[in-house]
Amino acid sequence: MTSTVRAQTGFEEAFDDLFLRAFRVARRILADPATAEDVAAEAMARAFAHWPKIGDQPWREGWVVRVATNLSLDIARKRSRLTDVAVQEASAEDDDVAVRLALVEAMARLPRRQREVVALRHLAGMSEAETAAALRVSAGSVKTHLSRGLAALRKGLGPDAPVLVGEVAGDA
Amino acid sequence: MPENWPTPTPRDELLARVVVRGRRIRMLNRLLIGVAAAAATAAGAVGLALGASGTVSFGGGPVGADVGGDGATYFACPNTGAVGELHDGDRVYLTGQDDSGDWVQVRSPLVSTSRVWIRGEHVDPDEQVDLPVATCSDEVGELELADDATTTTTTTEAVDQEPDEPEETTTTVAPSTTATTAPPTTTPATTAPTPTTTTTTTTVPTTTTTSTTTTTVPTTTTTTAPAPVITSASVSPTPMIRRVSPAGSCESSFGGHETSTVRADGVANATSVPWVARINGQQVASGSLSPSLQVPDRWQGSIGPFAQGSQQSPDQVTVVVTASGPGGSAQRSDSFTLNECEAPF
Repeated sequence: MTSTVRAQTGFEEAFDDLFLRAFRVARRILADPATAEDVAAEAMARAFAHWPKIGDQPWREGWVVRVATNLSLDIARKRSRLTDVAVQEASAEDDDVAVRLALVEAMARLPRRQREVVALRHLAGMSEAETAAALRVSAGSVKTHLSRGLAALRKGLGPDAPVLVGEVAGDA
Repeated sequence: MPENWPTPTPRDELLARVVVRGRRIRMLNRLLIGVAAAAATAAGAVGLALGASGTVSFGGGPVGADVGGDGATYFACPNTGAVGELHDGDRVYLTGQDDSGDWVQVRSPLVSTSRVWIRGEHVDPDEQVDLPVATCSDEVGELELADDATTTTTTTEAVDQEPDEPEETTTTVAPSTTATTAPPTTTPATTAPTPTTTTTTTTVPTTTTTSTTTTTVPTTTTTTAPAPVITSASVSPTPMIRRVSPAGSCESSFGGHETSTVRADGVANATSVPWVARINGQQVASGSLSPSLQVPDRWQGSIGPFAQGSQQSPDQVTVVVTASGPGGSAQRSDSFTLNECEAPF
């Protein structure tokens, strides 16, 4: 079996879990399942391109989630600058859109490490230990970055910031 | 494969698409590295043949390096004004260094035929190599790009630790043909001692030869913008069902879909692709599609949920998708059935 085929086999075995992680975090940022699917697929395509290097690493889930997070935030920020925001019949969607946009803008302003920890812990639903392994830092560092990240979000979004993150994370 | 695969596209189709796209990314990365290496090898040979002074042969071509720490500002010349920012994990290709060794010269992330400078402590080379000494006067200066040529040439993520983080200037979402990678051009002979136009051996159609000359990457220069094109529009999956509270009760009980995907294929020359949904000529929903990251010339977005209506009979919904751009607009449409959700007793 050639190394290419072997690498692809390993990728296929990991595909479901990694794709679903990426899709979940993209969906929580973007809400739109079609675009979230696109983002997750792009994140996985990049993972495939680098699979020989990342496939055996314990932080590969974190790598994929971070790529998906960054792609999603980029798309969401671009959309927020467009004037034609999607409008559906149910007006309650407008509040959800406003929450997501506010959260996207606030998260994009966080320092990189804090943004990653918030995304992995709250949007991707990873445990503290998983997040620490994905980022190759200690559990204590994860706690510190999360605390600081949420504090910065509270400053930008108000005291309900953790609730907002949780609301977005609770969707999809 | 897990049950209840959550995306509109089936799992196996997604996997196949991901593998095709991943192979393309891998191939393009290798092509860029190979072209850069070949060009730099040729450049080194030319430099040696001309008796270049102060140059050190490093026949292996540009050395790859990762930007680390908090990113790096890059400059047209060492200790001059900044011209751009690189981010932690970005990939650069080293082509030289200054006399002191404190600054390294790299291929411009925006235009591969240009060179910019970064402080050496910000890059982590793939391998240790004696870089040739380069002076700023040798360089083709940083080119100013037109507004719509903003996709960056960050070709790969720094694999070991940091994936690329698409900020405004680094996104690969833009549906231009130059997205994600730099065009595979040959690079000028930067180690050659003569700062003349003969160093420009590239196929990039620019004529800049000095660092003070600015130019724009060629974009559409015709006076009449090409008309937008759209080949087809579709809504899938269908049929759709109006939502009742609690959400999802119709899908789980009666089949159908509360949300679906609007797709426009074969889209070209468009800057926006809005859609409108109508029942009996009356608008009931609208939205805007985004370019697909996976499929060229495809734009897509979600539609639904539709709130419960007063009619008990199904509705026929027509979705009209418009590809709009400077050259005008083009439309395609699709129709689907929207059923009421008949709540169980």
